Amino acid sequence: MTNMDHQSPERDGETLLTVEGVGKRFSGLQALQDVDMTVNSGEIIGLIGPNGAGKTTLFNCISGAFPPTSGTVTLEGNVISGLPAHKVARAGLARTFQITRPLEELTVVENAMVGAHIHTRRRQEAREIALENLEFVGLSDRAEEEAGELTVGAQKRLELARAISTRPKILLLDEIMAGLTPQESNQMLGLFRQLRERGTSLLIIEHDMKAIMNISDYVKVLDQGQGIAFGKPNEVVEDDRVIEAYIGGFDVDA
Amino acid sequence: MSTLDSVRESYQTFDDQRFAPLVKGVVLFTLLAALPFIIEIDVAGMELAATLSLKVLILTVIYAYTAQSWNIMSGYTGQFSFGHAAFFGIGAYATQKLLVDFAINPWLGMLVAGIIAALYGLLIGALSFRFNLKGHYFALATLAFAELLRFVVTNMSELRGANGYFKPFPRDYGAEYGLVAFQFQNDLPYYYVILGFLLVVTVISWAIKNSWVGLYFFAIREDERAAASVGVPSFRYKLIGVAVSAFFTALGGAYWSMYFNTIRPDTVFALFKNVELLLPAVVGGPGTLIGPIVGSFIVTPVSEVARTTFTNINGLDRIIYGAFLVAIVIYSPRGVVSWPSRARALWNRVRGDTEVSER
Repeated sequence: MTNMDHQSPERDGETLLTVEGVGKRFSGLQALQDVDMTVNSGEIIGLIGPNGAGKTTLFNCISGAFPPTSGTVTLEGNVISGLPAHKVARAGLARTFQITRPLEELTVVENAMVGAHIHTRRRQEAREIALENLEFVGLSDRAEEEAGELTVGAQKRLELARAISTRPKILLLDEIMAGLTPQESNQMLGLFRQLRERGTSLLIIEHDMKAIMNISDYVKVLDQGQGIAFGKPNEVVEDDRVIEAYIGGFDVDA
Repeated sequence: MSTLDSVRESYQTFDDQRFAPLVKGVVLFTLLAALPFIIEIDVAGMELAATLSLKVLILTVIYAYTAQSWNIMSGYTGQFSFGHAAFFGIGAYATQKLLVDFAINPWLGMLVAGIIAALYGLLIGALSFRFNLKGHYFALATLAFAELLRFVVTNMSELRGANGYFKPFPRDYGAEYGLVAFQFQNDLPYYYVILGFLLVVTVISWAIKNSWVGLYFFAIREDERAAASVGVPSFRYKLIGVAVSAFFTALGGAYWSMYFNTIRPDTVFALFKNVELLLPAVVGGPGTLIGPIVGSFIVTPVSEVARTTFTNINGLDRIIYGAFLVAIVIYSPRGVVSWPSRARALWNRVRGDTEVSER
């Protein structure tokens, strides 16, 4: 059984993000219930679960899109649950969206500059930060194009560039690899590793099991709004409850 | 074709320079400053002034000014206001009230009026943004706040009800005709005063667009949630947009009250005033710097000339406004200023096709 939950003794780094007893109720529907998890500095954590398990809802509660109905989220010891999204971003947590949200009529570099302005009011400085990050995601040659004209793959990279332009301590990535070609996905995984080397923690929702098992230090599994497992990728895949959550109540002939 | 290309190339080189916006601005405003004389130039026995009077030019620049002010809020932050007559009317009324009842110089009164309008804008903004009104609902809310003022002012004897104010003579507030009194004995100085207003609001718009404030405004317009996710405090910046826009719109109203002899609730707070104030920006190109000016020079003269020429057809100017609005919204939501680049794209496509077929 891998339900050793979030305090594994062998985890490195300081605790950065703590989710404690978080629940979210939408009139009648309990979307999340009593979810606990932590992300340490420098970790890549995968957040997986079947459709409707509450992964994006958890992201929204953490990033301030809406407040959780119960529980708290803290970042470096400061409570961030209940804060509006822009304050959470200023506290050092950035996110990308499952369905990309480019600022369509702005140029690619301006998109990233919006993120960079969190640290500076000077336009030139923001532009430099933005260009650096576009270079990082491989979009610098399209800096002056309108963001709405990018392909989905490029928009995903732009979302990443915009988010990291805020220089977050932790980055929440919501299915950023969905819809990418295998080659693009591989590049993205390379970016994740580089980000971790720079000291950014990552919390990643992804459906591509192979990718997530490959990149994550630990995996948190949600099912029907509750955390059902937490552990190293190879441990989690062998967990009975996880298997059941993924393939349902069927009897599977091995 | 090669000369055209080289012209375009050298323009591009100029456009990339840092001083390009300054040069363009100086050229534009020099041209505008020369307009009263240009319309009087006699070309083959005809002069433009026969149809396009100085009065029409003044109206055109007034609406270019108000549209530029409206643009700061609605064009940049995307919060479409259909109620800027509220701020315009406050500007006119506060200036005249202070002038007539307290003999306060209109230049000072105008600034007070601007602050009152900004506060009213903050009230509208705080209420609507707090409850997350967006799009049509926000536009309707602003319209309601404007109409509210019209009814209130019409029924307030302290503001002389439906009769409104009659502009006093300069000697009534201890001044003489001239810049200090904000009153002149002919139209030419009036033209340069409103042109100065337009210059100021255009420079401020430019400064906003080229700062983080402008980028935040545009980010809010494009996608508020995405903007918030990277630290844009949208509520605060939307309020900044409303307040700045309301302040400058009120100065336009103040000018109006000093140019025309009377103001009444059904002129400065008129329902249709809401449209007149913003239409140049929508026609010219919302969110652009030059759009409101270009738009006003298209919309205002045409409707004014139509109104004064076909006096027997009541409401023709409004029909023209309506036609402009419908055509622009359907065919060119980015406004007239997007036409050159659209034409260039079309041209490139056509040329690209011929090149392909030549092979």
